[in-house]
Amino acid sequence: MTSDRKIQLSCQKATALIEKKREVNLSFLERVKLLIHVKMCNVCKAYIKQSDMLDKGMQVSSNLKNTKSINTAELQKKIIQKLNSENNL
Amino acid sequence: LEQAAIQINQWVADYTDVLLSRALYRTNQLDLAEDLVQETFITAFKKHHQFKGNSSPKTWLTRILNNKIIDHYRSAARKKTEPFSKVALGFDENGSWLDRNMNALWEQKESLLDQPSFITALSHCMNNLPSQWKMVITAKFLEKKKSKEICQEYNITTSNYWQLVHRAKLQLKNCLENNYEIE
Repeated sequence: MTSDRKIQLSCQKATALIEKKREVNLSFLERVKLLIHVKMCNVCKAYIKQSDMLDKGMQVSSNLKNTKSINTAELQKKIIQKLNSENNL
Repeated sequence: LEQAAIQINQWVADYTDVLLSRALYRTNQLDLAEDLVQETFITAFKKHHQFKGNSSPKTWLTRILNNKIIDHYRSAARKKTEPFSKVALGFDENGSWLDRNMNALWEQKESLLDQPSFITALSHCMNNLPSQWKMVITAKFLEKKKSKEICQEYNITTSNYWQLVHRAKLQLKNCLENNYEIE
């Protein structure tokens, strides 16, 4: 039913193209379809900004995680015990 | 063998930190990351004779850990057979938005990025993603890997990759809209 030849995109397809566009170049037809869809659909138009915000937010959240440190003393003890038991087998 | 045990014990002391943080960033789950690090040292112990000293112990251990992460990712991907429901992503049968109203979350004056509670909520939502999506998202944003590298590492095509990112972001959007309380 949803043939690729159809000029009208569903919102699901349109948002997929919005994400695809971030990774690879869209074909001419894809660009036209997306442009037409976004002209008519406010929700997908808003999604472009939201998608951008999600990327930036994930970047901020990931940078915060990079600076977090964990105490690994317990884990080291556990690993040594495990290794010793393997060793004795 | 005794010598190997002594050396591995030293490596546990020296490299647990760096391996765990790597595993943690890739999986986002502490217990899973700890298991993977532990398995890494066990494999290193068993295959100690293969360590030639051409590379540093850290490089060698990191390579073992990477293989463990990828194995985990692949077996998780194999287990995941349920098809994706459109509804879970926020669409109806025809692929139209279920809810066409703009969520108030996106209409605030203050930038979301300046709100610590937004970043916290986003981290929480990222943690709730299916594990293989999470690993790809983490590789992309935390390790800032190029999509080409991610595709190679996880053995997925470029189109699988951006479809995965698409689904992950739709799920994040839903999660935020449902859980984030505007201050």
